[in-house]
Amino acid sequence: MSPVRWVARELGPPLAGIAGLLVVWALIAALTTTSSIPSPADVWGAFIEGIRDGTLLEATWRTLVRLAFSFTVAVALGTAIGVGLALHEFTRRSIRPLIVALQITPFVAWVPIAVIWFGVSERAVVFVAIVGAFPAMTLATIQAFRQVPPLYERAGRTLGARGWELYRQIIFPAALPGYMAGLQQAWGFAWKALMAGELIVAAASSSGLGHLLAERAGDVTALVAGLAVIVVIGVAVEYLVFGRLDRRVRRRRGLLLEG
Amino acid sequence: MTETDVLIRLEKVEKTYPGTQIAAVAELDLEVLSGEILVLVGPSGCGKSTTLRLINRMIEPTKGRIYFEGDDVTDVNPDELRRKIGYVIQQIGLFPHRTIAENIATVPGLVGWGRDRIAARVDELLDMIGMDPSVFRGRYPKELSGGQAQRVGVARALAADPDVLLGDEPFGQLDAQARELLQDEVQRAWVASEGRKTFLFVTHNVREAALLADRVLVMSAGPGRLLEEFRIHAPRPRQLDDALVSRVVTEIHALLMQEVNAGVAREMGR
Repeated sequence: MSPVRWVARELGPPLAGIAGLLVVWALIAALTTTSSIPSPADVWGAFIEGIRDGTLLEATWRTLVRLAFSFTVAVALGTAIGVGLALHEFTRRSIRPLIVALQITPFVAWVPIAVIWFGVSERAVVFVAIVGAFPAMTLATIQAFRQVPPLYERAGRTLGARGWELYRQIIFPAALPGYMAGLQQAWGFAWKALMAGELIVAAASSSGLGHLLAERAGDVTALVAGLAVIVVIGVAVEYLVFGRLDRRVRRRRGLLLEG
Repeated sequence: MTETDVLIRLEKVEKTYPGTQIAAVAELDLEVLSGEILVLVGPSGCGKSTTLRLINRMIEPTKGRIYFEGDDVTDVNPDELRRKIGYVIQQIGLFPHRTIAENIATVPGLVGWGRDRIAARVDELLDMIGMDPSVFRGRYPKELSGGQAQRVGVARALAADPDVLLGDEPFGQLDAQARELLQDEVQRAWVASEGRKTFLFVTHNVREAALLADRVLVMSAGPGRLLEEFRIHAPRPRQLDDALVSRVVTEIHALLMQEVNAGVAREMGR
């Protein structure tokens, strides 16, 4: 298949969806008289303006750095706790309910406590993002290990694999697909929690995309432009990073049917 | 028969799984001689698989003793023991994250062979099981048919060239042609080893048992015991239509039918 046709086939449907959305949006903006629905063109203008004066790029950069940091900490924490709990049944049964409780607690509820503990600061925002993401990572890690069919462990032991070798060569790789699903979930939670944290803990010193929204609360056009940037970042990470990783692992195991 | 001829010896072995009333095997005395092909047959649940798993210590006996090369297996390191014994498990159990070549290379990797030696061995085994190395080396288990996966499972068990091979229904999922190919290969490997290799298989297939075995042990179910032994003194390679092979097949069949009927009667009377 030629590259052009491949692009058309792969990107055609989603581009059509986006185009459709823009058309509907433009029509609604044109047909309503209220100023609270800006047209796509206005938003584009606000976006260009934000790029030009540097505020949007600056905020995006700061947010992404924060996201990378809190995601990394959440993954490290969740993996360590998850592996520990997966390996030890008593600890799992005593600690897992607490992790589940953290997982179902809305992360926004942590914001006031974070502010008391860390003040109106960068640290409070990052704390909320980590607390929002690490329980999902922990639970997914436990699940990933528990879903490894006992047959693989038995086959490995029958062949004489033991201890660390058994884990390194057989159990860890067999748990990888479930673990990757956990990464994807954890990033989603980190991203949402970070936005909530930034929006509420609006410290002037720590501008980010969420702060930008809080700051421009009266300017609907700028708000929609900021929201669009947030949406695009989310979709890009989801597809370009996690979608690809997931496809790669599945293709390697022959789980992906190639068209 | 001298003591040194006995490779594996089970003495009055009993295995009762936790939570069950009836022993999986009971009062089991069994000797596997060095250099023989011994095949266990019997109805489902007669403890054939349990017997194999006791030998490589995947499970421990409830009573009795098991010796390998004269040593009580409970005194030897189970992992070292397992690396010396090739084992084809019934469910095959190929690792989905490893290529066919990596699956076959598992034991050579564990015992520390060099990379070139492993690669050469993998290709040799793929040729042996009738799967083109250049096609299958880099594939993953999900891309194989059931029969191909089983052949790879056999190759994986043979990879480090063990002198002892245990097989739990090692050809159970093969079609007739692949089954014949591997049966021939087992006979050829045995002949080539000049009496060095010992095979202990479990099968439902009486014809296969008679074709391959020096001795066929028939087991009965609930609890598993030895019922009868058939010795087959015929040169290898053998064919299924050899007179002796087909006579033994008939005899074992008759015995097994009797045993199955007796089992049904016991079941109804309980």
